[in-house]
Amino acid sequence: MEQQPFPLDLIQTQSAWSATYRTLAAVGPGAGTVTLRRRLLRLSTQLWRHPYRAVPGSGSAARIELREQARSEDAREAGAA
Amino acid sequence: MTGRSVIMHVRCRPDTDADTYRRLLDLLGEVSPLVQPLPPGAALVQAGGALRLHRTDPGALAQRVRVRALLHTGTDVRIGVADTWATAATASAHTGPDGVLWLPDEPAVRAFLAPLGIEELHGVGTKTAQELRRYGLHTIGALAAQPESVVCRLIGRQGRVLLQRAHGIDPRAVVARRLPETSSVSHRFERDMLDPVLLRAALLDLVVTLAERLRAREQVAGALSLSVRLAGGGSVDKTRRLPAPSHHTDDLRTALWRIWDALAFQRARIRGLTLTAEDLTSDGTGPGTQLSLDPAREARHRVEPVLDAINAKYGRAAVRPAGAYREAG
Repeated sequence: MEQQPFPLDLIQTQSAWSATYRTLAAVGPGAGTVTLRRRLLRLSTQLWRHPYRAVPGSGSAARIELREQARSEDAREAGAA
Repeated sequence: MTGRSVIMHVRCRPDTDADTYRRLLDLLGEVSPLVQPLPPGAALVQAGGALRLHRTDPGALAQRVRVRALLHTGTDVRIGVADTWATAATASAHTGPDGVLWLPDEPAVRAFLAPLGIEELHGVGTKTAQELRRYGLHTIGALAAQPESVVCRLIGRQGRVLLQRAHGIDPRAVVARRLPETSSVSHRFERDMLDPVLLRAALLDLVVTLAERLRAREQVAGALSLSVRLAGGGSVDKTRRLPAPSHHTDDLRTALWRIWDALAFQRARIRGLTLTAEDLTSDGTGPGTQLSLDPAREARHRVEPVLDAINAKYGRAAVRPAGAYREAG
């Protein structure tokens, strides 16, 4: 069964989320992380409350698929730049 | 479906400090009351009963836990989610870049475990792995395909447990526990210290302070550990279990001198001392106190509450052992 393609804004949110998570994890606890933390929280909410999520069948497999698409999108952009 | 087991195995980075770990456990306690700490850097959460509360599936819940852990404690955790302890622990070591691996059903568990190397199985050490590899059992799938009698002949009685785990079976339940509490006092010398008399005075002062604190909190210590920081930047740690949990200055002092004698410093230049009372439990739990037949000891125990009361009224160091007064020496 072919998976429906994800909306572009969802893929972009996911890729921004991953980037923010990575940055915050690399920085570690301490001062100067407030902006990053707020950003991660906002992106997480956007990600989980996205209307596309309400579609039945968007379970665990869809989540992994979305992450992979976001990653490949990132890789393509990095290649183009 | 009710009563389904959903175990999350949460794994911190190896460099996580004790304070962060404690905060992480508090955070996990908000997800589900069934949290079992696996110190120093892991924890198990039985989230089976909490899914309805959070109205989500285990994979999404684990993702949320991961984000919350990063937001609140600043630590990046990896979470394996499965229906048994062993599988979840194996999964948390193989989460990949996503940080969460959820194995929702039995086929998924089997497909995940089968291609892994034999040493990845929870509970297989280097020796057992070598032994199994010697017989050509290189993957968990290969082990799972063997009959029980064969595996037991190869590695003994442990084989049965390992074979079950290779099939994704693990009967161990998550038991809600609290992290064993500790309390510590430390002393830093202004200059590197060589003088044994002054060192003993500092140690005595530490142990008296610690014992007083335990009695004030109505706790007893199960073990005592001493950490000595040396001039070179290195440090030496030694822990000793007490014969019986205690909060009497006498018992702690005896244990401390044993530790100190065992360290046998000769010309070490010492920069700082930290004394920690470990395995704290509240006084009055556990078996009763053994009657002491030593009148001197009984007398000292009887005078302790009096000394505590005097110190509480007139300041912390009103009454101390003579040896603890550094200036007098």
